[in-house]
Amino acid sequence: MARSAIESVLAIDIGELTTRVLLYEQVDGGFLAVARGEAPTTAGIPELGVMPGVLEALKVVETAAGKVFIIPQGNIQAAPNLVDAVVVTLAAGADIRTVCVSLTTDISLESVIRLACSSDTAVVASLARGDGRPLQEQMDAVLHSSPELIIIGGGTEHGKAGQAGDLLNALRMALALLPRDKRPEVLYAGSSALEEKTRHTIGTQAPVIVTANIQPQVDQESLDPARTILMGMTARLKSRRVTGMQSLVDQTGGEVTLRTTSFGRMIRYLGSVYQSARGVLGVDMGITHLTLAGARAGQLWQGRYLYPAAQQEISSDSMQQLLSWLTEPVYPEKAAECWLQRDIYPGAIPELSDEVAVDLSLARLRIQQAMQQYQQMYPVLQLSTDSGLTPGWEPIILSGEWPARWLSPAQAVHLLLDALQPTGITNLVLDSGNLLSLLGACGQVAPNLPVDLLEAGLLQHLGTVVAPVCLRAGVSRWMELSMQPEGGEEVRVTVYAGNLFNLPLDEGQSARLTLIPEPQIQLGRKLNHGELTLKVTGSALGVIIDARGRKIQLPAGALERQKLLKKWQSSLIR
Amino acid sequence: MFVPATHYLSLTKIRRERYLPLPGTVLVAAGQAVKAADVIAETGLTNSHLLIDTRETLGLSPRQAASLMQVKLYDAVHRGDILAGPVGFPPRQLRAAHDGTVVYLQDGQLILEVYSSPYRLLAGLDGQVTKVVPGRGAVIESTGALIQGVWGNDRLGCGELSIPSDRPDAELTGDFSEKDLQRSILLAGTVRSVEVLRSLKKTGVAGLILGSLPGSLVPLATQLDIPIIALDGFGQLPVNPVAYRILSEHAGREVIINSSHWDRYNNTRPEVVIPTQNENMPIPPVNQPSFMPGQEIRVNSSLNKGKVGKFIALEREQVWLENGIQIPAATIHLEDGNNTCVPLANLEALAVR
Repeated sequence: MARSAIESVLAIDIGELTTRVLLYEQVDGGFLAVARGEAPTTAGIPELGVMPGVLEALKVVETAAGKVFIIPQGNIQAAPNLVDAVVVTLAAGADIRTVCVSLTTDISLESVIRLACSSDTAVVASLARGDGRPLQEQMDAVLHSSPELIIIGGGTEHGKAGQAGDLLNALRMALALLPRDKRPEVLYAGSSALEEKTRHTIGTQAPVIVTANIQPQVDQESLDPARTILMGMTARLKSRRVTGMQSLVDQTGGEVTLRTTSFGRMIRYLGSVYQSARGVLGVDMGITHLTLAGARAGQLWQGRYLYPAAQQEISSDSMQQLLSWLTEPVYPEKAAECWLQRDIYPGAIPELSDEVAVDLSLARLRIQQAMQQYQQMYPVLQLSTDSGLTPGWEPIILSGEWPARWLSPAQAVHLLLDALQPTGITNLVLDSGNLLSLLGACGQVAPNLPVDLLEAGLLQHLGTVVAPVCLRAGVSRWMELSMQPEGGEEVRVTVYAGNLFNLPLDEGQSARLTLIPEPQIQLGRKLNHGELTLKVTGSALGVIIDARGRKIQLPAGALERQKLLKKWQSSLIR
Repeated sequence: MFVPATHYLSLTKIRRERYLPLPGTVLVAAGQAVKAADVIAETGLTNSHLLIDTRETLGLSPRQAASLMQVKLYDAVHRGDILAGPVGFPPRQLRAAHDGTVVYLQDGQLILEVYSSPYRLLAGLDGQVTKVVPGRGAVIESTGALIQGVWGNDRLGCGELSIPSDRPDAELTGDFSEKDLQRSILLAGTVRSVEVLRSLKKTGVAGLILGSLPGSLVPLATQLDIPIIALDGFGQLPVNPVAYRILSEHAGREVIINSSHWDRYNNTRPEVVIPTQNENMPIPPVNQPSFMPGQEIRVNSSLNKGKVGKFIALEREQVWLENGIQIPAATIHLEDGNNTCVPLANLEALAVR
């Protein structure tokens, strides 16, 4: 790839809790982070906005890099003699209130909602033609939800356009009743046959942006072009809402990218780099939201999910799920209080063993809840933790502001294994510096930057997971395994049902791994004369064998369950 | 380093922006004095809209329909009023089926906004309207003591501050007569009994300020229609000594308790305001809190959760957590006399005066 003319990038990340500034420069033909500063995010304080946090972090960068970015008036200068490009990623700020509309059927509405949920939106109402509600109720749904954005879909490119006039009229009149400065922007992503009618009917009331149909054929969904437009719209709307963002953009000239957008962009890129037939899965655990992004063969499936509020969850089934994965004996009341306390202090770091247990169980629950919604949102992926080996993901990448605060590699492995319960053979990866999404934005101005940083080992390889699936109940002996490290002694192990352990293999080392499964055991790969041999590379935890079965069954009794979870917790060594 | 802070101020200028969720009518003027429970604006948050198509109903062209309309935009109409017509023979008319206002009128189509009980925006504190934003709300300023909380059940109330026990860790029990509690805002360390919490409404209590609330009582507290605030968190924490000192100085005074949810992006959080009697008192400035020596802080997690103290110094080296991760930390001096090391992430600055 030809290297771009950009030789330095100032990357500003406005996180939910922390604002970071990184200065990347080309050194000896490759990009490196030469300075880094961070400070608490100040986005939530109207009289301050984001700027104090940015300036605080930038001061640290100035000192480390010996450059002056802040001029005496307190403004930022990003002159070409200082830096070639500035990028800004944004996670802080409330979601964009969004109404989803299908001019035709409920099926199209599902596509519209899928599109909306891939960005920083909160779906506050949804309507479809023929959803059983009179037009005036649909109109009230729009009015009562005070939307900032309306996404309209419906109709295919080859079917009949249908009678969408009534619903469009209802939208037009609803928009007309809102004050002009409070009217939402409209994204039209439906049939091209209805485009003109949509523009004509509601274009006089609110700005309409048209993009490609998200459902060109009955059995085909194409979210990508519309998602690109939507991400730009939500970034603009969110930047407008967060105090100080406009000033930051004016001073630096940096384009704002939502963290969700750049994370998806990087997962799609990694999907093409790994060339994994199973697809790459990225889990971005934020402070209030979790984003799941799966990429395979150039396609991206993305969903962003808000963590439910503790005060509702503590009296629901979720509380039982949280309690059932606790490795420490914690009274339900204490666990509920820890959860509530996390809602008010989401950045706090657990120090006591019972708090650590609750936080990890809560993280596991949040990933599982998000994965359930992701499965419902993308049935085409046929994801299920209890459906055996298809399709699985390889690798699985954990990123985000939450894990970067305090999670250790072993805790990250346990979290991913317990929450996602991957099957077959896969690799687990940790973005311990929470930089993946920032690189996604940098890649837009300097395509080599993420490549250089990834090659330099930005992501931490946690381990290669072997998670066999047993097709018949009652099989106790699952597999013979041998690992022959290069220049080291061979290790032979018999794997039994319920085992969880790792075979350490230092980073920089490699080994030949031979697996000989029993006939009822599947590994998701084709065997050669009854065995599978693969080359594995060293990592934080080496080769991880998870023979706990899928789904993982936990004992009903609390003491027995905690004993088992504790045993599993101490089973992975570095 | 700039840090977000919780405010415990015995005298300050309080400025609150109060806006409707939807456009509506502002009922106050700039300069006007308001009480916390005064309605300052209202809107038809749940008003419904009836779409009436006179063309379809009376079988007319858009032009005919427009010429036969008997109402104008923004007319108030009553049930039975003629909206359009007469037309044809025998003459046909279209009448309003509900009271309402014509909010849309074009080409023979009209929308009648039908009223429901309006959403009323309360002032939220005693003070003066300093700015009106037409159709949206107002900015209100007040002078007095301000004590911010960490959790609230999203209600508003006012009453006389009553402190049943002189200990900040005292549990609220049902051990007092009903007469004592009328219009009282009670201050206590915590409450443990479901029955005591349930009985408060019947006894006429106007609000509850607690150090902490047990997790098991949170679902019930969210349903009660009296305002409840937790100042320090969940469990059985006492009221922290800084907040307790300010509040106990104002026992018997009229206090306003706004137990709104803590929303970091909209800058709302639960708070207690005690309006001052003398608005002309000079107000000392509040320094922007930062993690500097002497800064008053509160620990928000782990062993010392809820305790307050003073920031001594940032640790030179990052400290190790049990899981092998290093994080920045600081030494702090707790009010109980002990020095301890706490991760920076678990410290919150207190703006105190």
